Amino acid sequence: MTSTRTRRRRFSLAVLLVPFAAACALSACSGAFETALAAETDVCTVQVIVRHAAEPDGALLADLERANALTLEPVGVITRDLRVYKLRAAGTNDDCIAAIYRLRRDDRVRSVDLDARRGIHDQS
Amino acid sequence: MRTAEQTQLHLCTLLVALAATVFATVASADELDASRKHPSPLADFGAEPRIIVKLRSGDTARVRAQPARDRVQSAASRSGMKPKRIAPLGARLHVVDIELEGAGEPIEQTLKRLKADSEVEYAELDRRRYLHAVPDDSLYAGQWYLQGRTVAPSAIDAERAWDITTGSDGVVVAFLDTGALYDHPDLQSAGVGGRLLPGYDFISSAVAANDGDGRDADATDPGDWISPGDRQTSAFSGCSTTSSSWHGTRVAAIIGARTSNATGVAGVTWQPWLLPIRVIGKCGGLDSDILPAMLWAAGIHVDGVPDNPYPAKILNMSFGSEDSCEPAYEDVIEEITAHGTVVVASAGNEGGPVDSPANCAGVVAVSGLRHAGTKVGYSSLGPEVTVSAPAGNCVNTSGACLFSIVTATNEGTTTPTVHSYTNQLNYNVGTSFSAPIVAGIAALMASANGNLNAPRLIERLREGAVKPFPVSTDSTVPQCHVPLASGDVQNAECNCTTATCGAGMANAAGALEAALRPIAAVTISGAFTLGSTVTLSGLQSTAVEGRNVVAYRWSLQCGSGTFTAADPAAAVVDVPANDSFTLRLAVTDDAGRTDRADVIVTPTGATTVPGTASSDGCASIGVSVSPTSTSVLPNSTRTFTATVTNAADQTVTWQVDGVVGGNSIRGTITATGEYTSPASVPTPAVVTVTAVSNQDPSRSGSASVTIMAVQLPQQVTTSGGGGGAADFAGLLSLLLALSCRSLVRRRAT
Repeated sequence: MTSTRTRRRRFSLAVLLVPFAAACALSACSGAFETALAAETDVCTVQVIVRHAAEPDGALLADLERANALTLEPVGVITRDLRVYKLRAAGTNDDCIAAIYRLRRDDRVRSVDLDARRGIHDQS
Repeated sequence: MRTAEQTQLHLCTLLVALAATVFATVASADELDASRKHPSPLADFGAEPRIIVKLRSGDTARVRAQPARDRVQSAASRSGMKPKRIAPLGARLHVVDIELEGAGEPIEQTLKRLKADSEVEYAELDRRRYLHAVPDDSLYAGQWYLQGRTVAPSAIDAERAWDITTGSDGVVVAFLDTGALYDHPDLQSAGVGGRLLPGYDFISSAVAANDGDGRDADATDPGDWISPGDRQTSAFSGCSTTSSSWHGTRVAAIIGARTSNATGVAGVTWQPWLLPIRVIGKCGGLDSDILPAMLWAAGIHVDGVPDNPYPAKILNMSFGSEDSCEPAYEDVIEEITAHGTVVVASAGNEGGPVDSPANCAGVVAVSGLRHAGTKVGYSSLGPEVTVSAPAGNCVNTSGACLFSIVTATNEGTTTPTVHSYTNQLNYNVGTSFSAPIVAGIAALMASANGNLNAPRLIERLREGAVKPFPVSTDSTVPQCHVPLASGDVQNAECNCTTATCGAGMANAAGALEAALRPIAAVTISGAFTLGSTVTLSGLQSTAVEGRNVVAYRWSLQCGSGTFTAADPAAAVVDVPANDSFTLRLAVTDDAGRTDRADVIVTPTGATTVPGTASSDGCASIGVSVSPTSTSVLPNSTRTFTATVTNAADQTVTWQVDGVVGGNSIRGTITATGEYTSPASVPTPAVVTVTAVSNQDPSRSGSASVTIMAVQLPQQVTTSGGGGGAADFAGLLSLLLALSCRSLVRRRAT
């Protein structure tokens, strides 16, 4: 059964999508549409690259997770203290961004960046 | 995917083949390297050289009365020469066949006397000239960007460079890209006499790698097409439908296609090995694959991957995205630069600020030029750019693209089919292709002078660039300006400046001339105590292989200090009581090339800085801030570093918008350069962080910081229900502003 709140949300979504769809039709940015749809959730996941102040171990990761209200699933090792994780936090995209802020401010972490996608510089 | 056994077998086979190829290459090097075929100028004439003499204009009655031929005869005799034949080339210009009288005296000595004669304006040996090294590749005539500047003002003068060197097979150039087509006839595997080393595939995601697995030892490009069906999958839902790019193959052939093989195109380099490293798959590549690949390319161990047996001296990266230089990139670039590897990256095609990673400190960032030397519309630009190079432009808005960058490619729209080349209809443009031109030049430099470390190679690449930039004959073309923010786009032609397009137009011949200069280096020994002396030695100075440093000259450049030249290579310096002074070492090699280094001596120590080729007298204090521009979110931190040159006191005071330490409105900055942005976006959103020299407060360096409202969570994925429309509102404008812009392409004119 669909709640009134959900119906309202869908209505406001539709109102927002009208100019978005029009703009997309003009500028061919269809790829953005799916990204936006994925925002309606309660657990967000983002792959990040973390520079630790020192080589991390299981205990340190567990403490970072507890102190910053997030989870860090190891994905890869770049160097001794530069690691790739899937960062998860309760809530929406904004909550993941907030979690990244918290992690950045932790003294045991030197930097946190999104694992960004790069594209070729081909204009042909 | 290859098994470990297959990989080992492949490597063994390759090593044997490499050994054979290296042997064959060494054996044939004299034929390939045009410079080695040039004999000494004296070998042209043996003991009877020929000299070209120009007489001074005569304004006395005696001189006017005397025939020019007699004046030449007299001057030659006075200099110890016996003219056998004197023939006029012009009114005062003669060619003289001579017989040397001074037994065993070098011709240079005799010539020196003739040059010093009061009747002579100049005198030079009649030198034999040689054809430039012109490759016989069938498409070479269309490679305008490699030719002389009379062909196109932005062309890189490769033919003159190839007269010096076509590169060394001791140099490896890595390119992080989509991989390569090993069986393209203009590339081919090193194991069969081609240019391509085995390389590695660093793409973790099997679907993005498109070769059935994650990381493996096969750097072959399987194609990076995105079909409409792909876009229905979660992995590629945000990507555009596109054919395979064969981008890595296009980049590779620019750096080093097999050259003078009567086929296809010529590369900027002819000898160095090319190391393909796959990091770009379907829909781009992730930092988590790119960063370890950069380390591996430089020969640094990466967990889970066999060590690279072919560490690269040069690393090309023709990709990026709009972003500040992330700390992870800063760290990795610092590490591989310290390892001796030079990173070259393309500036980007948005016409805005330089993309990351090209905007990282220590990277050779390359922006794109039109054939005429003006900035090509699409090229990104800014103070991070090191040099500019041709990127391809079409002039026409339809039909043949007149100034495409011709290179190798493949006809396949998905998997590879027929190997081919780009042309004016299937054209090839983008800063993706200006970067490998510069990577090739850097490889030639490293080949010519193996003593150049990364910072010095970059410094001499700048030195060799052609400057000033040409100005368009069309007066409506504006001057380029430094982008103020990511939305400040200049996507039309503009006249380059050193603040936007680097030190100049990359030039292979100029860069090689700069690379061939010796390297002045000073070591300091002794304790700095009042009344004591310290010894400065220039013995660590180096010349290129086959040359020697033959002269050392010490001079006081700045301030008052005392020193004695103990031996030609060393100076003994009295430690000053109060003030500092600057001593300069100038070294000269036996080809007459020079370099210099300055030593700033203070009461407590001494620091060495490279003497700039143009500087005379006291070098002024310079302050530079890195990164030069960046973007941050509210309430976040970013660390800046200041580099102070030509100063004994290297400390600085940090300001934000002119306020020492900043404030809560514009952001604060610590004494160590850590900037913390304000809690909300200020107006204007761009603030200036400045480092002021404590030794000379009139000298400072600055960086711009854009405080952005929200960071686009491009790869955030979610699960479960909930959330709300509010998330959309924040995303919509950003998605429209950022995601769409890169999808709208314009044809470059």
